Amino acid sequence: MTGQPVKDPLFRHYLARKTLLISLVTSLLLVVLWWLVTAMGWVKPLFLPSPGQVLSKLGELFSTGFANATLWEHARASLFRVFSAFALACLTAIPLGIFMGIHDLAKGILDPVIEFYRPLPPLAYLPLIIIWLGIGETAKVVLIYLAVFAPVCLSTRAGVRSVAREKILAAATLGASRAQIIRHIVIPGALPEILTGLRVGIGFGWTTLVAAEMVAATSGLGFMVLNAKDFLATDVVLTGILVIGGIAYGFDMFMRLLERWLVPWKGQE
Amino acid sequence: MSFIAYEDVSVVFPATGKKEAVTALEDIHLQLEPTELVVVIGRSGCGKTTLLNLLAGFMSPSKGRVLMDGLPIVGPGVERGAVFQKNALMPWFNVRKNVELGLIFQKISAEARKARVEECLAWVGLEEFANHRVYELSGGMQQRVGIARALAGDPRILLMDEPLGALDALTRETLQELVLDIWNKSHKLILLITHSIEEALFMGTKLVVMTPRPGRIHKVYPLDFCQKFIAGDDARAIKSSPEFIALREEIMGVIHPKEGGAL
Repeated sequence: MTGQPVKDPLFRHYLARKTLLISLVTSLLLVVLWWLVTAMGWVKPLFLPSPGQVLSKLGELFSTGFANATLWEHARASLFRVFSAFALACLTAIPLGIFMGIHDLAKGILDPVIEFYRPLPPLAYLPLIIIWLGIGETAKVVLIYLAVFAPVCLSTRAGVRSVAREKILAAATLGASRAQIIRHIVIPGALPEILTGLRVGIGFGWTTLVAAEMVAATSGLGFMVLNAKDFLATDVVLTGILVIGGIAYGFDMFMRLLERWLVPWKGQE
Repeated sequence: MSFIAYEDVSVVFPATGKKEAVTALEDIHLQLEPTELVVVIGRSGCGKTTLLNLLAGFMSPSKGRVLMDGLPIVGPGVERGAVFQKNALMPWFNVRKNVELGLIFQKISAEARKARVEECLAWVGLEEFANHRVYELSGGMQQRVGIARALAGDPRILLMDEPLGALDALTRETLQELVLDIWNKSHKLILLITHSIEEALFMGTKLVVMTPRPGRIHKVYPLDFCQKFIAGDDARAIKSSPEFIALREEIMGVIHPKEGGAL
């Protein structure tokens, strides 16, 4: 008999290996189901266009576009909004999160603010942002930024707190200054949780995109979907949803790769 | 003047919320000399880690003073290296960089660092693992990295808080001998904390036996078993000699008065 690894009682080992195959089969089954219900005429195209229709719509959106812009132009507008918000969040939320993890004072000041607005739906404070910042590009980026900021900041703080006390004490006995401890110990130690925060954050960013493009947008994937709804162009709505989902999923995959490359020690200690 | 002196030291952890105040150490008087290998033993809660943390500068006493060369200790310093039981290596650096870390902090030149790191890795027998990731190493090898790292900056004191506590018995014995070898060659003051009476007797030149609640020093024994080992006697023979066993039983009687023998 050949040796077999001891099975985890929760079958985590089993799942880790088979999960990709299961995911592929599930996705395929969903598409087949979608095709089936449309091909059999169980659902009207107005409510659910067929996969073929959506695919040809996708081609059409690329070439002729919708609402005065091609799909690429819509995507570019949305990508710009989401990624400028994301970049801004990285530049502010990570340093602030580190600061919150190190200083009780910073935590005391920022914690109530973040914890208060974090559970609010972005649509609830969208009017306020419009009153303050107008209906231009700034308001859209700020709305998405706020959605990304909280998870990034809070996980950075949690990451800083999770760095083992022994590591910091060891660095102190090795003659590290405060700045050296932060640079060589705290930041790399917090990196796994910072990356998790970025993944969660960008997810919230895409979630908020449609809300951000509800007001006075002339391009963007969220705008395209909302605009198509007014014309009952269900195929455009569905295509838009698939494109947003696809981009978000692709970026999440990229972040996972980045994680494997940047923090190979995660879960190893 | 002693190299290290604990003068009438007490440590009280103040009451927090529902917890009462705890006296971790009370009336500690202890002198340590430059080339001693001092082993502290006692059951959990006897304040042995607190004793080490005071010398490391991780905390300060509630009463009394801890002096090095007559000057009070105010914080961690490079002349007092530390080896921890676990979690103290940086998994984002490889073995070499972990050992080099203190030298980088102290802005030593790259050439000097390289030479020193090679030397320290050779000391602990890890030359061939310099480029390995630390989490790929076994527990015993990780502790060797920890020891090499603490040695790299050439501290005057090596503080070891149960560094071998998480290792299996065989690895533990190998590392005991490694620590003795390093101590014998470098003649640094080593302060070692352990749960194992056998380890304490085998390694120390001075044994500090502590009792809990409040943490006090029960008795300080001079020892010479490690000298015999360094002189060439067999470790097994030393550990089964009548003197060794008699002393082991005596200390067990102090540490575990009721249970009688169980570790």
